Amino acid sequence: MQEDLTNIAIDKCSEMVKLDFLEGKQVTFEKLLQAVSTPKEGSTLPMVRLFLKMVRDEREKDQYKSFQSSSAATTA
Amino acid sequence: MTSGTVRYSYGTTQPTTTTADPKATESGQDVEENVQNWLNTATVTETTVASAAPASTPPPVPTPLSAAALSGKKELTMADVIRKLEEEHNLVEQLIKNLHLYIEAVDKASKEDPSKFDLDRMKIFMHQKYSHHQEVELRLQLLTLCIVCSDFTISKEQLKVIYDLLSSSSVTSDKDYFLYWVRNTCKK
Repeated sequence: MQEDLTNIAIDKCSEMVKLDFLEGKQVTFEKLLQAVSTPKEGSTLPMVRLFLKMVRDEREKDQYKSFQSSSAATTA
Repeated sequence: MTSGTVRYSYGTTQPTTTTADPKATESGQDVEENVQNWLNTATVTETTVASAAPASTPPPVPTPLSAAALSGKKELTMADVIRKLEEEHNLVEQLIKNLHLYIEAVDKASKEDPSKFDLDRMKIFMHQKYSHHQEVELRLQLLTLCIVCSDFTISKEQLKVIYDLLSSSSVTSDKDYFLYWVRNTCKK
């Protein structure tokens, strides 16, 4: 149950910032890194997972953008 | 309102209702007039639509622009963000420090109950939710992703710290996992 809640929270958080520009996401990355480097109680793995998910989402976005621009160049 | 059929008066957008009363139904002449009116207005409408939006060219889809793009600056990339995190916040050092703290907690717990750590790495749980394998794997995955997404490389010293941590871990399979991780990361 607790793990489900953690998973939902990670998915929701990453969805919330998914469409933000990187300038805005940078602050979130800094806060996450700070939380990872100074663990307080329990596992820091949820933070690591959220960080991972955000980086992966951004990578996918970059790949999609480059695909779009390359296909636009081909059609032009 | 009485029950009836909805009839569109051609040339206008407002529908008009007619009653179901047979006395009120329109005569053949009325229908002919309506059809004639519709034909006239339909021609005009078709011309208007054709001139407004040609079927061959779809309207351009607006794409959102970031603040950097609007101000004419170079748009920020993930590589820039990771580089900045490394330069200003020592990203790799912090991740290694986090791994170090975790392995330290494992060692401490193994001294209290060594039998718990002789198990398969998937069955060792330090925080109930995640297995030891997940704890190590996700931390190293993040490190890999940061290296792959940006242009900086992990130094030999940093790699040695990770090796020392995992090879001296209470979970003996950590050393093998380190070698597996290095091999996979080099492939990427």
